[in-house]
Amino acid sequence: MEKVQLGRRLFYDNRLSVNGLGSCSTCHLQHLAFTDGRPHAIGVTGESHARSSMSLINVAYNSNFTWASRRLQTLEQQIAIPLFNEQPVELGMAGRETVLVADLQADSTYARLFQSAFPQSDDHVSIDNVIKALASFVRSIIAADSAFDRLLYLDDQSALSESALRGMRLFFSEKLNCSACHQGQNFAGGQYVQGKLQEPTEFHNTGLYNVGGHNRYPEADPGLRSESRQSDDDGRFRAPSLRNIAVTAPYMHDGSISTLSGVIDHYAAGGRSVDNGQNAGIGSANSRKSELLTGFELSSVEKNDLLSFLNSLTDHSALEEQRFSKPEDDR
Amino acid sequence: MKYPVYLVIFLVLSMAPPLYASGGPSGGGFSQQQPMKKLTPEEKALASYQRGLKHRDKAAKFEQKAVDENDEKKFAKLQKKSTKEYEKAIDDFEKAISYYSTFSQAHGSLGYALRKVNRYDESLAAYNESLRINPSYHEAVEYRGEAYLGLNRLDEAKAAYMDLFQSNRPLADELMVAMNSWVAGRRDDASTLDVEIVEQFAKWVDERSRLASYLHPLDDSAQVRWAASN
Repeated sequence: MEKVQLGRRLFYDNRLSVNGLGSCSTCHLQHLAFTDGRPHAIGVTGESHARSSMSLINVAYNSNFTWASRRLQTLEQQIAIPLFNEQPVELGMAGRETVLVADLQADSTYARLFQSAFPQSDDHVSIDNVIKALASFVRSIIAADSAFDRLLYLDDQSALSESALRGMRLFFSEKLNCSACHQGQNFAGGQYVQGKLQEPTEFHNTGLYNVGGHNRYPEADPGLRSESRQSDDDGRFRAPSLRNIAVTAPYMHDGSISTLSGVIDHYAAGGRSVDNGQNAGIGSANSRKSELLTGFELSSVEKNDLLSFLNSLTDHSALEEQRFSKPEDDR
Repeated sequence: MKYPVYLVIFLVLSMAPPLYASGGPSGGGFSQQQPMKKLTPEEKALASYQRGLKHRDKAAKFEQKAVDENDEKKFAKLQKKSTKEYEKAIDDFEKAISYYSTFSQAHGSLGYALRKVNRYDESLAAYNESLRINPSYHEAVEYRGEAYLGLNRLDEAKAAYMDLFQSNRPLADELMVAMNSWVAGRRDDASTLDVEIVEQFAKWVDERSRLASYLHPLDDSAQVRWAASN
């Protein structure tokens, strides 16, 4: 509990950035389910990230982190990246570790919180403990009170509208097969339930790009290939959670689809064509596209039903719950 | 002074193995050379409980043989034997509880044996007591759910399922198998219950099965586990 309290304060503290202009919360806004509403995250020095900020809700269950990594298997590993990454700079704390520790030590509130959270540590205030506390707070961001949850866990028969119920059946149908990738309690890939790996950690090329007809994604972000160096991994990304999806626009790893309706159109077409510019190409013809993306036909009523269901996955209380927000005495 | 059950089990099994290796006090485990040891109430409770388990297992064997028997007379005979063993188990579990009133597993096993001889109300009371003592004894929630089914108390059976769906998915799946079996049974013999009630419940069971499979596939082994305990 102490670690969570400390992590919450650190999460909102601009001292965790090189120029005091941002914190974790800059790119992870609570009212947007801890995303930032931008196609690409912007670091504190103005550098643009290749990817869109991911939601932090229920990431405690993830078996791997970020959009495309097999290596990042703990939140602690992941949190070090925005803190110290230099290409691009996110919070820009590389080389500032000593200054940060001294700053936090000099703050009597932090000194007390670190001591209470890490009583066994020789150095209560340390970068290691900063990361551990942040991870503890992020793990505490659990939300499971959407309309869908009320149906699923509380048997509330009135939780979902008729339209959302039809959309739910479509979502899980063989015709659409959305749940082949968006699985389990978080509607995502790779997650743990009660300590067991419930869903496989898989990465998918969804036919967003086919730059120049070469079966490639833009070099700025080739997905899992940037980690594995394997050409087959080009354009492969993890299936993100669909919880709270209605408030996390824009969509896809690079925010290149602005609405949920557009996302459904993309999957219905079995991929996307980019007509102009340096990324032009027919994504649906990308030979590395997942075999699961075969396209489907939807009537306008069915599409609305599916959207109703996706809207039912929002836990509105989590978007304003105080225990996830900036501490009162730190405002 | 009361001792935790695990401590009693440890002490009894580790310090006095000959007692139980030979089937308990009634099994003639004490030799004349051994000094008679005065059993504590907890040890007496455990001995009775273990005798009850043996009768329960014996009853289950007769029950299984009866299921496999085509000859009506032999079937009835095996059923009778099974009931007799369950009744012996009930006596032993009750005795265990008389020695050790907060022995939650004994209350749970008593509920099970009572359910097997169709004494559903008493069975429910035993499960309730088991859960009062140990609220996290999820097995008792499942057993109690089956007892509710036996009593046609469908809303309470549903509540038991929802409880397990959150706390213990394999047991929830097991209860779902029992619910499907209940529906099939009532459809075959609708004389005891309004057809509409049965069909409403069947619809709920279908819908919940579908929802559960959305979250992750139903546990295939639930059918086997349920069959083994029924």
